Amino acid sequence: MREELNHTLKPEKAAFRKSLFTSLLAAGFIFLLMAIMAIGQTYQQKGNLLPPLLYTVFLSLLTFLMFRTGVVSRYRSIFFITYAISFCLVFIPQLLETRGSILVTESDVANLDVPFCHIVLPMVALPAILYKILIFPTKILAPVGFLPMLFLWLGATFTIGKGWCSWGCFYGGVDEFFSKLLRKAKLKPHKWDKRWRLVPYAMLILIVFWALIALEPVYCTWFCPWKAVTEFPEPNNTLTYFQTALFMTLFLGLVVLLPLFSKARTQCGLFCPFGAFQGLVGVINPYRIKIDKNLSNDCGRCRRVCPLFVMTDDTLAKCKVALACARCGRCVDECPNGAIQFSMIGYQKPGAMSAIGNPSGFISRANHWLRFHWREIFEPRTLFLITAITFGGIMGSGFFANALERLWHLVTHGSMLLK
Amino acid sequence: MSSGIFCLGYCAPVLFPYLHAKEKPDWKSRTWPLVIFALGRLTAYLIFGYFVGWMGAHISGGAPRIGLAVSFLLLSLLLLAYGLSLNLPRFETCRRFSRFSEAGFFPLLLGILTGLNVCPPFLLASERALQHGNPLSGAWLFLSFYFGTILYLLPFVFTQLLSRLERVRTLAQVVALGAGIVFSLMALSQLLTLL
Repeated sequence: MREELNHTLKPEKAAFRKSLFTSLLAAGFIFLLMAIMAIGQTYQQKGNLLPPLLYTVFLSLLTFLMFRTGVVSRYRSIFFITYAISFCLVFIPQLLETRGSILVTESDVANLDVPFCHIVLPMVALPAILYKILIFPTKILAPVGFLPMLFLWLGATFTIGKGWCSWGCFYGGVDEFFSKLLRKAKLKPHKWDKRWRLVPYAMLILIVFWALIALEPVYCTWFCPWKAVTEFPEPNNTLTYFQTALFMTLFLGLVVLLPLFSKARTQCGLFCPFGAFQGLVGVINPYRIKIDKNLSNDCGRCRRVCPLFVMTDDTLAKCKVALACARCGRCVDECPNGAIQFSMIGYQKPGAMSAIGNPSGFISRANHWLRFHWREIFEPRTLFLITAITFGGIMGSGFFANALERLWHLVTHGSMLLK
Repeated sequence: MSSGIFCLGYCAPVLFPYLHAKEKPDWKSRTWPLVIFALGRLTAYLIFGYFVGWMGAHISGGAPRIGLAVSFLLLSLLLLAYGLSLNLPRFETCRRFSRFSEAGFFPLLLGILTGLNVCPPFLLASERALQHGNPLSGAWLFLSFYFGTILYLLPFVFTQLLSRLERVRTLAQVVALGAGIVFSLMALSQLLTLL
C-alpha cells in the first residue's frame, strides 16, 4: 500500500514517509521516555497514573503518524494546540488554588511570587549584566523561577533553536488554535506589506532599551497579550486600567481575531519580541529548512501557507527561509515537489542506494535493510522531529496530565480546583 | 560615566531609527547629524541645569515632571511623524514632514527632547543642582554629566555603516514608529501617575 502511494509522489516527497520499522522505533522511543517520566512523576506525587499514561499514548501515536504518513504540521498542530490549552486549563486554576485570584497583588511582587516567563528573558539580560539585578519579581531558584527557565531556554536554543515557537512555547498554540477554526481565510496575509514582518524585531529593540531605563519588564507591564490567559495586576487606577485595556485589545486582535480571519499566527509572526530574539540566537542550532531551487516550480504555495510569514519572494529567490522560521513543517508538507526539506548545517544528502547485489542472499538483504534504516534514522528530518517531539513532550507532560485530571474533576465535582 | 548606559537606553531608540533609516554615503553625512543631536542634548542639559539651579529649593515636586512628560510627548509626536513620513511617503503631509525632518535643526530638536528625561541619574543630578541653588553651578554640574555620558553615543558613527543594508533601513523605519508609541506611553504613564 505504502509503495503504491509512493509511486504517485515525487521521489523527494515519498522519502518523507518513513518505513514501518523507523516509525515504530520513533514512537517506541517517545513511549518509553514518556512512560518512564509518567511513572516517576506519579510515584513522586502519589498521583493517578492514568492521565500521564494517556498522554504517553497520545504523544506516541502522533509521533508514529508523523513518521509513517510523512505529514508533520497536522500532527504537530494537534500536539501544540492541546499543549497550549492544557497550559491555560492548569495555570489559572493553580493560581486560584495557591493565591485565591489570578490578579497579581503588591504582596506577590514584594514576595517575588510571580512565575517567570521566557518572554521576559531579553529584557532581563542587560540589567542583569550591567547592574547585577533581576528586574522581574520572581525567585531565582523556585521551580518556575529565573534559573530553571533560563536553563530550559538554553536547552531549547541548543536543541531546537527557533523551533521553540512551534514545539515548545506554551502560548503559541492558542493563536494556532484560532487560526484553525475557519476553513478559508478571509484575509490574505501573504499580501500584507513586508514591513509588518519586522515589527517583532523593532519591538525587541525597543523593549530591551526601555527595560534598561525603566528597570522593569516593560513588555509585561504594557503589551503582553498572554496576560489575558494567565495573570495580570489588579487594575486600580487610571494607568493600570489603561494598561489592562491595551493588553486585552492586543489579545483580542492578535491572538483571536487576526488568526481567525487570516489563518496565520499573527501574534507569533508579527508581534512577539521573544520570537525575534529566539530567531537571532537560534542560529546556533544546527537544524535548518532548506529549499532546493532545482526541485521548486515557483508555485508560491509555501508563501501562502506559511503561518509565520517567513516565506517571501526575497527569501525564496535566495533559497532560504527568514530567521523567524519556527520549523513548523507546513511548507515542507505543502510543497508538491518536496523541494523544501528539514536539513542540518553541513549535511550532504547521500546518493541513491545501490541495488542489492544478490536479492536472494540473506547477508546482502540484511545489509541493505540495515543501511536503509540507518539512513532513515540518521537524517536531519528524523533527528529534528525526534528532538522537537521529545522537548515539547517533556514540556507538556505535566500540563496535559494535570488538565485531564482537572477536567475529570470538573465532570465529577463541578469544579476544576483540586484543593 | 556610570550612568551613561541609561542615556544610551533613552537615546538609542531615537538615534537608531533617525540615523539608520536612510543610506548615508560618506563620513560627513554620518557624523554631522550625530554631532547636531549631541549639541541638542547639551543645550537641553545646560538649560535644564541652569533652571534647576536657579529655582533652588523653591521648585515644586510635580512641575518638572509635567515638563518632562510634555517633552516626551513632543518627542513621541516627532518620532511618529518621522516614522510615518518614512513609511508612507506617498501622502502629501508625510512628504512635507519628510522635508522638515531633513532640515539641519531636526536632530537638534531630537537631541533637546531626548536630553530632557527622567532617568534616575538625571534626577540625581537635578537633586544635586537643586541643593547648589546656583544657576551656573547647576549648568556646570549638567555639563560634566553630559561629557561623562556622551561616550556611549560614539558607536553610532560606526553602526550607521549598517544602513547600507536595505533590511536595516526598513527596520529603522519600523522602529521609528514603535519608539514614537513607546515614548507616548512613557509620557502617558508620567502624566497619569501625577494625577
